[in-house]
Amino acid sequence: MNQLNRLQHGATTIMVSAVLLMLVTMVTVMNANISVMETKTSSNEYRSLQALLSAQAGIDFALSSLSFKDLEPIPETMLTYNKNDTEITTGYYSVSIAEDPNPVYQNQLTITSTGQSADKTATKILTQRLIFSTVLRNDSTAYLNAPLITSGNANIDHTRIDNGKAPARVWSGGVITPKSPGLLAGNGADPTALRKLASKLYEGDPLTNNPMNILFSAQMRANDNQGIKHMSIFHDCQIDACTNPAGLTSTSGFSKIHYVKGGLTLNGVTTGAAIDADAGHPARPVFIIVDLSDGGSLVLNDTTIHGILLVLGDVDINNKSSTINGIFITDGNVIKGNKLTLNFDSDVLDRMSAVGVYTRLPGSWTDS
Amino acid sequence: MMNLTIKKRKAKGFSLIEILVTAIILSVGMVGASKFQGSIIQKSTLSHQQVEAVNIAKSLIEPTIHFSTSKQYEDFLALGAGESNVDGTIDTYKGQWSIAKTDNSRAANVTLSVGWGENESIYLSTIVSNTTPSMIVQTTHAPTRDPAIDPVFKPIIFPAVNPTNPANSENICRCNGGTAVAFNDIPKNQPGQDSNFVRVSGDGGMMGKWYDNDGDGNDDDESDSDERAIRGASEECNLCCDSANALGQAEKAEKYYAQLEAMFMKKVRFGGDQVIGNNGFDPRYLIKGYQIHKLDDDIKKYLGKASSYDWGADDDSDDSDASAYTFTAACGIDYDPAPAPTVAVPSPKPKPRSTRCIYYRNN
Repeated sequence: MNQLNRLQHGATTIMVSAVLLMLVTMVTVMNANISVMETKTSSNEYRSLQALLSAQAGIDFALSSLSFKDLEPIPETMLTYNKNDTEITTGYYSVSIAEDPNPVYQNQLTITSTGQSADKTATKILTQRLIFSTVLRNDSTAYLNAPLITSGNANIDHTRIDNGKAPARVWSGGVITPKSPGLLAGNGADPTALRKLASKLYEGDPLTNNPMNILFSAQMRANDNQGIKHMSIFHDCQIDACTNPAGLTSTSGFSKIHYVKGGLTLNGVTTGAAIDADAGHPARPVFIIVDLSDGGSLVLNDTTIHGILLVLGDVDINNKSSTINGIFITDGNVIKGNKLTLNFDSDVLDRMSAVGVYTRLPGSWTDS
Repeated sequence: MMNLTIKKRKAKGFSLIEILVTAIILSVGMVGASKFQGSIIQKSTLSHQQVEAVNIAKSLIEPTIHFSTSKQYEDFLALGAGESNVDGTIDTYKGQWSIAKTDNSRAANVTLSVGWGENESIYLSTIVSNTTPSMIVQTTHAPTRDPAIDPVFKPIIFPAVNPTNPANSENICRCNGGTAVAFNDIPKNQPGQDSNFVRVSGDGGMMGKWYDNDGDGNDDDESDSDERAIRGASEECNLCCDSANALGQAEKAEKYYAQLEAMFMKKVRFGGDQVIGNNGFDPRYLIKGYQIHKLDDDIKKYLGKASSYDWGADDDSDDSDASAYTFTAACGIDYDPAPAPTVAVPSPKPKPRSTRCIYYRNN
């Protein structure tokens, strides 16, 4: 009996210590489980962010391949393509561009990008729908139907204006002073050939007074014309007026938009030597915006522009002979433009109307 | 008595050994457990630090890639490489970034690391294109707006019903001369046979197209009688849809919508659904944005209708109902098929005509 008591005493002590150890172990294991969960959670969040950014990289890379700052033609092959398992620093993306199976607008595309974390254990799929946004308003041809459109006065030599197929001779919001009184030549001496610009465009809401609103699509004009500026090749000519900017006086390449802030001089002849200062090409017209709102002047000397010339401000052209094959638009006055030849060219509009970019369709970014 | 004393001493001796053994076992167990516990705490701290680092990385990367202008994008590129210390709740973190143009120069590679402690850090990378948010605006229709946000504008109502108008339901446009010409019957533009026109009358301009139906090549001859009806229809359509007032309202609406969309994209691009609704952004716009697209076909049916239209219950189209809503429609109608592809863009899919129209409620 005594022996039994002694054994029982020891067993109890061991049992108690075992229970204590077990409790400690259980607490430790629970904490370990929580810690493992926390580690997994934080790791998942990290890898998920890696995958998301990788997928977004695919979207933006695809966008960059379709969004050309200078309107460089987009290769047909870029509209439907696959780029698989491309590695970036902390992940991989596979991206594809395809025609949208359920388009809301014409020429709609869908970018699908699958992003993976660096260890390829997390995956994120993003889709982004794109629409084709034209630079010009789709109804701009209704407005741009004359070789000269000005909201101010026009002092011009009418004999140098060739309407081509345009029904309207000149649009002016002010007074038109032709070189000599009387009917304009051409178009069967139609007395209505010289037409004053109707109140249609330049009356009413101030928003409609800006030719930018008439010419460009809403996408281009949003946020203080950011779209236009984004699409344009910018020439800063505010301090020193630019003369024959290299990119602008190029007839090769493709259709471009040039935004000139400040004075611009295009000199075709300097000290007797002919210089090619032409801009654009009949097949590759340019859109030149000369912003004189903060000063500067436009000087055209023996140069030819194929495209649309838009001048924000008054234009004083009393220089040597120059030609615009396309459309000349200004929101100010045209003064003494007696040596400027204007040839209306509807092909310019046709070509420029097709120029645009692929942009994101708002609200179409999805993830899964 | 002697035996009892010996037994007690023996019993006490065993107990002491047992206690010693127990103490050893417990101490070994406790030491192991405490070491394990320490390791757990360390891991847990590391996890919390990593979460905090991820959040800091998000906060560092999101503002830099949410630019709204080309200038901001240029500023973003100019950031180049740099570093910044950020105080977290657990530790101080060191963010380092590098921004470099991609090979095609139309996007930028962005790498970011957030480090803490001695050797801990996380790494992230992505690509940011130079497509500014201003280029993401599609303003086919304006959404319903909240007067509290912009009291200048009245709500734009998209008709949920399909009103009938005996006079106009079939012939959407009517010519001035009295001969009804359905909008869809206006012949498509034939290259070289027609042109745009702008005609000035006494009180304002009208726009449209002249069509050379008789094929005499005089595409803009006002004397061609067979062209008058169509010209008249065009005039009225455009007079209805494209009045200066309506155009002005449309511009305002588009501008508002542009701002809205830019704000929307800024909020959801990286934030996902969880961010919608924060900072005063109203998620209803998203919902209504989708509704607008779904209504697109319905709205197209009414293109070219009178600038003020009776959407009231009696559908008498006289616009005299005090309770009836009137709408101003601002439409840009492209009569032409998509132009032939040029050097600047890929081949667009030809469409008979594309339309953009904004309905603005007048009352």
